[in-house]
Amino acid sequence: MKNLLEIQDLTVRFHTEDGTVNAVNHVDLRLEDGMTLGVVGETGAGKTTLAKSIMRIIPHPPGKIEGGKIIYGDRDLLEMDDTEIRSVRGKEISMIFQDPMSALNPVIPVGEQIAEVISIHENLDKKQAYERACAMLEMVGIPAFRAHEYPHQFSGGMKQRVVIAIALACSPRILIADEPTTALDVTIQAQVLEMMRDLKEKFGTSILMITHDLGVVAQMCQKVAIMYAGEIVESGTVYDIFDRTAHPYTEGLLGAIPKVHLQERRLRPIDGLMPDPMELPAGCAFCERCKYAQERCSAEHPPMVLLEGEHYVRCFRAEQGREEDKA
Amino acid sequence: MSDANAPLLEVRRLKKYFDTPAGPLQAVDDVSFSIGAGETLGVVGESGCGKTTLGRTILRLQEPTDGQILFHGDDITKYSKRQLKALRSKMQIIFQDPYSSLNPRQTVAQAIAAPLVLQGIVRKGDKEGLEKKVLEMMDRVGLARRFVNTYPHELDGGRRQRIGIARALALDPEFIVCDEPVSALDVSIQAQILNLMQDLQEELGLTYLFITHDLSVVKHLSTRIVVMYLGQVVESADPEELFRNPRHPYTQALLSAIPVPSPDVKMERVKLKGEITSPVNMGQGCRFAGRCAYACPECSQAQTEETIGEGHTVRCCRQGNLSQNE
Repeated sequence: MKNLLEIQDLTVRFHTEDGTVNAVNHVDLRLEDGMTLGVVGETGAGKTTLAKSIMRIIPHPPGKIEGGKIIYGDRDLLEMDDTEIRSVRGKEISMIFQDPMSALNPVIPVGEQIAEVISIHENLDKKQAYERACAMLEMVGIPAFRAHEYPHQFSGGMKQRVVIAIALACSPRILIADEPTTALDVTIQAQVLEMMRDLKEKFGTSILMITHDLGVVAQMCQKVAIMYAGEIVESGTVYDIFDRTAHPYTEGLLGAIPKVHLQERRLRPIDGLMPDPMELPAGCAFCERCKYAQERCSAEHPPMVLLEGEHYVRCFRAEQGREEDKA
Repeated sequence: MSDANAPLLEVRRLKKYFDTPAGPLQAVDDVSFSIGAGETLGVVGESGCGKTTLGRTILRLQEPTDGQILFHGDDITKYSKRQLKALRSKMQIIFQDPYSSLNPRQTVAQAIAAPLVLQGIVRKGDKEGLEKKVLEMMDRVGLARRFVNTYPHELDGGRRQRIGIARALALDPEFIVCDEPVSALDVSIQAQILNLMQDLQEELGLTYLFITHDLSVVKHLSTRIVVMYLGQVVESADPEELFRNPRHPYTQALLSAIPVPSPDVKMERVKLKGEITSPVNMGQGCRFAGRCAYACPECSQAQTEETIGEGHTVRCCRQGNLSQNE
């Protein structure tokens, strides 16, 4: 499958008065054409920073993309000047944010907010852009006559639909969705996810889905990357991650969620906390919380190892398992 | 406590209305249930269904409009201020957001000590007694003793929620309202807190009213579940029965909307029209009818809670018979 977006060795740091925050550390990630890739991790794992790096909207200072490449087509997004990146944002790659309440401008009617992105990127006059905006509203399930209303007149689920309409208005190739349904109720979440799935089919958009919800990942994504302390610790197809789990952190995450489809007496939490991104350990970032940790884990940083097909894992155990198989 | 089978808490036809310019907002409308000692009643529903108001009204943090709340068979809606203060040590609450429910200027020790001093369990001057009790509570909720003099902003969400739990437990209560205690936490931390709450329940014989929007959490913890929609209980049953055999169209839609964390289980969603409406001036009929695929003319009449199986009630004129109009 063709790679639509390829992130190579991306490193992002925030230089603050208290010290340097290592938010994203040497991340490699590929988004294939037509796929939905889920990036999973807990608060502070660096998921949102990763997404913002692709859009080049990391606040600078204190944030700085210190290394790596983000290849889109045959260009490196990190090399583009401001004018070039602006022609990509919203047109080729667009983003939906977690909180629809704060992503919209409260004093501008929603129709105009959708029309704005259209008139920036497409060669249309104001009236035509507004008509397209109304058509976009209809597409996300909001009657066009509500285009002149303000964000506060819509419910949370509808606001998120408006945000999605803005993001899809110029038929982008890639949609980055940062926790798009976290702020919504479960029945509304189901509606929005279903709509995203339909629109993806219709426009052939590829989606980079950032979430902490493994349920959403299992139902929406074909490919998954698990992020921990700023790096990818496991990646593969959704079946690799759920059925052939290889990294102890992924195993921990799956054990920690209550599952509606299974009966269990007790959850298996992961002890401890994620390491402080200002003081990352020299070895494996997860080793302090890992029940399989060995001496080597705290001293050396484990490399990413290919297990099978496209299933990668950053853990010495997997490496050992493979050597044993060979022997 | 003479009758061993009597429920610890019984709520009868509880109502809480708020006055708004558009008319009465029926946040909690005619809710009845009972909880036995040592049990967990799970209350599920989406934002705006009145579940938080229900929890607060039961503790009389808000005055009920109508109805009775029986604690050990005694109607606490009639309690005087003084009686209420004594009752507070028996009924406690754990709040949703450990970021805003703790005083940022109080250390962990001060936060846990405050209820002890207020209720006169330990005298304010008795520093040794207080410290002993505070450390005992910290041990109980798994909060390392070295945090005793830290401030909430220095701690992560999981540890902050442990302070909230320690505060609630400090007075040795029998009944605790848990208002979304884990929804602000990451999954790995959420599991730590849920296990802690389960352990404490077994150890201390606590009774929980567990309010949440997360159906997987409620299934995991509860002995019984009530599903709320716009201020009313639409269905109640034990967790296995409710998940295996949901009979109210809203419960069915709610259960089918949960994204199952397994790519091998494909979701078959019961579609739901539109969104939750405003709970102001709702009239007599079924509050869910506007979004319901099974709506019929009878839905415009008042719906009553009917028992359709052992411990399984549903508030729907079809009483779980949903075969028509599909």
